[in-house]
Amino acid sequence: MGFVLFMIATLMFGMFVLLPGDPAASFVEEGLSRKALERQRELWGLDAPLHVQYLRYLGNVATLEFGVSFRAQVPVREVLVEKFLNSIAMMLPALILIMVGGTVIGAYLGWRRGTAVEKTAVLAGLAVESMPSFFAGIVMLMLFSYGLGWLPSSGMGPSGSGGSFVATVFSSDFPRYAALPVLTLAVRGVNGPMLLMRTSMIEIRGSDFLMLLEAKGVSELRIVRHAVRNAILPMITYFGVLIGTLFQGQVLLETVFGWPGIGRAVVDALAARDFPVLQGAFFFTAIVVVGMNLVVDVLYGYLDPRVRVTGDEVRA
Amino acid sequence: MTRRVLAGSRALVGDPLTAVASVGLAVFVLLAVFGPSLAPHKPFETLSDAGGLPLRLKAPGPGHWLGTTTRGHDVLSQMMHGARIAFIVGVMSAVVAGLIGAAIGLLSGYYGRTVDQVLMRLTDVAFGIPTLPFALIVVGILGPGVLNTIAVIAAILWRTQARVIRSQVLTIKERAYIRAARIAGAGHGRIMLLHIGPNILPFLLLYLALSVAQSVLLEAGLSFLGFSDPRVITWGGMLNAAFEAGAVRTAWWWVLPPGLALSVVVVSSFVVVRQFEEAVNPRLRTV
Amino acid sequence: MPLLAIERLRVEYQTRAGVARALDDVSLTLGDNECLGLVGESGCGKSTLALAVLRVLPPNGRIASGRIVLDGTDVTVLSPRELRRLRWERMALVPQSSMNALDPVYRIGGQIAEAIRAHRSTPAVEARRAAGDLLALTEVHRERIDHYPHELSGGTRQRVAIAMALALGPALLVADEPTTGLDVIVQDQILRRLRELRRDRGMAVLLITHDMGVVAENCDRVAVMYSGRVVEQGAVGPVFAEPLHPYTMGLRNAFPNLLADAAELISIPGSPPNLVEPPAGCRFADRCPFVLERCRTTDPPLVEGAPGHWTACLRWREADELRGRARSGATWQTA
Ligand SMILES: Nc1ncnc2c1ncn2[C@@H]1O[C@H](COP(=O)(O)OP(=O)(O)OP(=O)(O)O)[C@@H](O)[C@H]1O
Ligand SMILES: [Mg+2]
Repeated sequence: MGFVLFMIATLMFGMFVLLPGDPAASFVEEGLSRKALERQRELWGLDAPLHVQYLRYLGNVATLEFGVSFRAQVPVREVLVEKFLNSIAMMLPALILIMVGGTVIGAYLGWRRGTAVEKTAVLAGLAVESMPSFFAGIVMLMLFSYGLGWLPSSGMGPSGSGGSFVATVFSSDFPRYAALPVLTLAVRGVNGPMLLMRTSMIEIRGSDFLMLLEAKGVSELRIVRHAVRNAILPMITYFGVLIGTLFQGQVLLETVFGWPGIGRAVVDALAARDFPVLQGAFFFTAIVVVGMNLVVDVLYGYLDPRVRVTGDEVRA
Repeated sequence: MTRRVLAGSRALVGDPLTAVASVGLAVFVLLAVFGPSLAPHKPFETLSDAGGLPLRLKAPGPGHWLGTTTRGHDVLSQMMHGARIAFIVGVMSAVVAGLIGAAIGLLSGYYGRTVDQVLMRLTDVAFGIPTLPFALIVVGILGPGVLNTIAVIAAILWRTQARVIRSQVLTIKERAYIRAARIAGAGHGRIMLLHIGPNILPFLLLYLALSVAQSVLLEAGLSFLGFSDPRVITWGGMLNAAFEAGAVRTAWWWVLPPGLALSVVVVSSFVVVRQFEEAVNPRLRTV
Repeated sequence: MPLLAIERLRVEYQTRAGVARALDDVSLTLGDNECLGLVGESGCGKSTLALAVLRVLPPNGRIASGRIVLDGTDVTVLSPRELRRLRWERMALVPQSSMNALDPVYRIGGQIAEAIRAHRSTPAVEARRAAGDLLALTEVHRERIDHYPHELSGGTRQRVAIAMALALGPALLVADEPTTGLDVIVQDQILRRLRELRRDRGMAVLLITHDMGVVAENCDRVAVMYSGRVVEQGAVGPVFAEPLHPYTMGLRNAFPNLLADAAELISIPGSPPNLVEPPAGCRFADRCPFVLERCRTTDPPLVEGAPGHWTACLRWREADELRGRARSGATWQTA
């Protein structure tokens, strides 16, 4: 994991520092404060030779020190934490829905395979998943916000409320604002886990140990539990990958639903040439993606006694 | 064993669906080839009514069968032009990514040891790169354009191919005839290209087909976020324009065609690829 | 009334090639505390019979006709609920591959306790203690109770499967090749333990194996199956000493130490017929060295060739002569 992140940081250095011209200087024309500029120059050590800049850069990245946002004039870390939390506020409920929904529906479809319900569900899932997320989001807006007028179209709360993260998320308005983005995310995301769980269940269904459970006179509910417990193993890997995937694609739905998350931060920082924020947001996303792989390995080892891994066997 | 095989994956979606999907893909290809010449208007041509006033945001009707945009552009014509970019970016990115991935997978699997270590670490890194943010930043820095888009998509998507091809090579290279060729003194390059190459081709094509859909989606995402050449019409760009203009409230005719077109292309290639996949390797299961 | 009576049982599997009749009018009886050996080549339907008795055939298999009477109740017509109550309490199964018969992600103790708790309102602690006792009974260390199946050797897993089958003290134990694939010493230990348990608990055992030696040592009676049919049935002594069916004569040759004089090891050439569209007449005809024209047209009925000794061969009267010829390897090569 360390190696991968190190390489990504190096890649970032290559992209940003080897840009034509002086990255910090490109802000002078835009009338940003000289002080901010100087601070950033100093942090990046732009006057030093390239290899010194690189080492200093790695040090900064390792301590998650990205400097001060050109635009907001506050430390990048602060900006990112807020944006990150906002993204999580949208992703977490969706993920829970996806995990629970995908597992339950998939298990059901696998156990009762061959029925019309099953075929319909598989087709519907495929169709929904094939829609680009932003298009799906727009369709949701057209239906439930503009069409039926049930739900607000944009933001995390009424405009102008501008409270802290906690105040926003725990306000009574939040569920209405979060409903569409969360649902869009969940409906599109549920297909993969559902299909995987279904396949997994179908494979498990032929197992001898389920036959023996039946022979033991165990209730069907318990048999299903055994089946699910076994079938769920491949799902672990999937969820790790899914979290990474959703996170990378966040920007699209955040754009559609005017959600001030970390995906939006990348686009906004890019538009504003706010390089410290841009770097921070990118690296942060990479940490989540890479970190999830690690979590997957550890979790898998925990849930499947056959592949209990010891600490040093865990791959990066 | 028999029980397992019977319970195992059977083509769930029957053949009629594959047929429909193939038709969908065929229409897409035809549109990409002939669409721009058949389109009634230029993509950025402003339509006017008899009195010379621009037809802004008109619902579908004669002369503009899919309605018009806020600037009076013909949605149908934009759709037909957009197919070509989607097709070019989708196929080109997939081909480039496929070639890079195949080369890396082949070298990695064939030589093993240090070469394998280095290349697979590189692949791990590629898997750690957040796809869309990376593409955004690169296009943001290099500037939008079809070539840049293709390059950045290919620079990310090769990673899956590399892993798949490598694992294929690992099994193939142990086969007797490869060993025989080696003993007979065939060079490494010759073995890789003439003996192993033909065996990995089906897998390469399979994943290539799969990444066409991915590339189309990525390109559409970039365009939707405004990171495409404004002089070139794309389906994602149309959705971006509609969204930015606030037209999604009312102008369903502007939103649905590009969105549905993208969905149909993606779903069709999934269905066709799955059928193809079963032909290539019945036991292969993708997640 | 016997404990178990199987009457004209017919089991069919739905396959791509058509309907395969894996059991064709099989009839067997098994008395209390009796051990019946079921032998035959691979694929002759032994496991199918075991699964049918517990009614746990795979989804593509079904009982087409016939009865399976246990304690006077026809198992084939029971509702799922009634069936659940009967399972494990009255009849238990040691499945063919204990490798896959234990749930890989649950501890073995829990899996044994689960069988107990499915039928009795035993508190968890007590069920666990009982599981430990059962393990000890089959000579598995009690500490193994919290192990996962993959942590155990094949022999131990087999013992666990037996322990599990004994959990509720069933009247009938169906043991499907409980020792196949184990080394001889472990095999002997397990079979000895099984014999003792049967004696102590007065349990009836249907012992499935393809090893005639195992049958000779463990069973009172034996049924020989061929291609979904019982071709010979009777007390172990007479069946092995004076088989009436050419197939049994041939089988016996594959286990030379069953014979008084050290004969040569001969195996029967050829393979059993297709179950989807089997040929008319005797199923063994194509491989039988003593085949006659009528064997290929007439289905041989099961006849009592000697008291309590049944066979399905048209030439059973000539068995004494055929047995002599069957001892020579040359006989089988010409077939
Ligand atoms: N699920 C199934 N679907 C179709 N055919 C089956 C199925 N299970 C078993 N069979 C077929 O039924 C016949 C009897 O199989 P069975 O497993 O009962 O044989 P067996 O005597 O137990 O063999 P072995 O000694 O190898 O365990 C075989 O021809 C087998 O191919
Ligand atoms: Mg068997």
